[in-house]
Amino acid sequence: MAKEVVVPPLGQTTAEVTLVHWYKREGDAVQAGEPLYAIETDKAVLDVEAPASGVLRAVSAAEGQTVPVLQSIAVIAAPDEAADAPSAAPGALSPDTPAAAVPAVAPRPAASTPTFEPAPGASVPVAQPAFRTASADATIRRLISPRARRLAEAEGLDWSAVPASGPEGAIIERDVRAALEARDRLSASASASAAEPPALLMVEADMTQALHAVAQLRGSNHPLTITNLLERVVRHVGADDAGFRATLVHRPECVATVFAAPLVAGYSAALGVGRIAERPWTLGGQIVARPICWLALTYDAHTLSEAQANAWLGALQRLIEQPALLLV
Amino acid sequence: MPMMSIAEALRLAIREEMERDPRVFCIGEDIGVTGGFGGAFTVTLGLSEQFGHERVLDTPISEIGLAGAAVGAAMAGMRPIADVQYGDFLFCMMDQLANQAAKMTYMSGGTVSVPMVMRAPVGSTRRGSQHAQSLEAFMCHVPGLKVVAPATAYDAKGLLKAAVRDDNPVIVFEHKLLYGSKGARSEKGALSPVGEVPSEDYIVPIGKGIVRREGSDVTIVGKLLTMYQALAAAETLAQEGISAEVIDPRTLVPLDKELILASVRKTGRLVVAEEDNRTCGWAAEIAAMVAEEAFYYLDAPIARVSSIDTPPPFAPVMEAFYLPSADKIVDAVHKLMGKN
Repeated sequence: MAKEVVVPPLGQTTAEVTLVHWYKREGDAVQAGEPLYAIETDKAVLDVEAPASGVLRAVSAAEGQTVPVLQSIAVIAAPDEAADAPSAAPGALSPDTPAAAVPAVAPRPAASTPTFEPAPGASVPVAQPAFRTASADATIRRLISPRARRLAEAEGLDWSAVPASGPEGAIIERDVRAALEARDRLSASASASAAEPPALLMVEADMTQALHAVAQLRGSNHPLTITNLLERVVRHVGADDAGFRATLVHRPECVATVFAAPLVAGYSAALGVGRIAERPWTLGGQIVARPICWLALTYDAHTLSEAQANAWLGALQRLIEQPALLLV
Repeated sequence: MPMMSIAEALRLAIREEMERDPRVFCIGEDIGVTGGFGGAFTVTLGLSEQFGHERVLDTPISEIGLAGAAVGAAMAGMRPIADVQYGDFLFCMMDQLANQAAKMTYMSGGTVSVPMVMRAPVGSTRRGSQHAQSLEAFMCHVPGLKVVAPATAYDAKGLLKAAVRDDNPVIVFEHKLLYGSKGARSEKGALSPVGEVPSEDYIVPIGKGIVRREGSDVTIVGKLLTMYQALAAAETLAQEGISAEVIDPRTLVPLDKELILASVRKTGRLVVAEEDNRTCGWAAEIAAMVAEEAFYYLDAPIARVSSIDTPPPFAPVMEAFYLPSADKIVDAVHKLMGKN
């Protein structure tokens, strides 16, 4: 049975790649796992391994040619097997099929989306399993309970970005209700502020010390979560400046790293904090990996100056990066 | 109002029905022997003294024989209350029940009815594999049989009387740990669900379940002993702030679907607890029914708490491992709530 040679999907943004080099020629014997051809993406040049052992046949892409991911570009046939053109093989992918409409090469575990990111410029042998979880489908698959989905659809809520709190990472009814409340609050405050959206200032914060403080206090009589810490920081800034009355929305499980919280009527600002993610960070001229999160401060531009909001955001960032200052 | 155990309530129901209708009689092994226990679990104690051995018939140790006699008598116009000492022996009489009693009305175009009752004790009580099974799913699978499972003294009297008056064959499942039997026939670890039983004539309609505890976060369906385990689990869950609704279906066939569906529509979560083993079981049927009819109301997968797929073990430690329990129900609810 001939095995198709399919250009692997590479993450979510790469729709097509350049075929740089064939290591084997039509009619050559190939071994499963040995480099078969090289492709170039906008990030890197990668070797792709042969998916099976046999003889390379029906090569349909030339060196230098641009090919869509998931396209079949050759087959590996048994030595005595007649080689059909790839498009005639059962289940073959037509070159005309848009990549986004093609199902994933192999079934993937639900809601698991490891990404494959080679170092720039490196030539990395790509093993088949690395692609199992990537998909031509550009959206990350999210789980939602039937009950939650029913509610979201009845309320006309786009649930794709709703933070999930259910088992197995599923969005459940309470998550949809929370999102609906947030939406209602936003529309209430929007109409209150003459239909003008609130202004937003954002800055990154290095969470190393905050995470260290949480780890230190774990198991003590006064355990602390990142949410607790953020609440204390907001209170601290509010104690220093009576004009700062802010709500806090912490979304550590949010897919987005930036979370802009809706401004609530009666408050001067809203601090939204998303997921902490490891990011390159410069420290003393060196690039190091640090746990980073975005602080997004939404404020009412009608009543507050940008300079005032900027000062608050600076104070918040300073305290979150150096939680020991809370004790001063 | 008199307080009674389930064994006493069943005995009262049989006595009242035998007094009311001369066609009603009891048939079984060692149910009327003078000086005996009154069946394996005292339910028929004293009835042969009141009604005589002609209406409290002792048979040889032959389940297929006694079931055949009951089916034949019912077809001929009598209303037998048959007794199988242990539910496990229903297997011995399956031809009489599944091939004869259950089909007769259909095969005769409705001209023959089989108004018989078969009482069967179930539940694992440290008696090993052949005196411990729960056969509810087997019987629910046979078209033409009605199946009831009273878990309280009130329901025991009311459902048994309804069963006697029903023109179809009715299997009455009773749990050995719920009889509240005293003395020599008391099982280890038995609960004593003594309850109020009205002296007057009443029935509990076949096909009507009941909400035993109201709640809003999760529905737990349990029958017989697992209903009490569900109540204990609900109490534990309440202390954690989780509000569980406990439903006792009381009748297994025909099932009070609407009661379960209405509860799941409210809570969005379902745990079904059963002492039957898991595969192709009764809980599986409830789960499938809810998945079909209330899918869009579910906020979590449906969980089953069942015995595992082995014969009931004899060793007490292994039996505890095998059986459902309140703790296992609590664990299942935690999982559905996203707590571990």
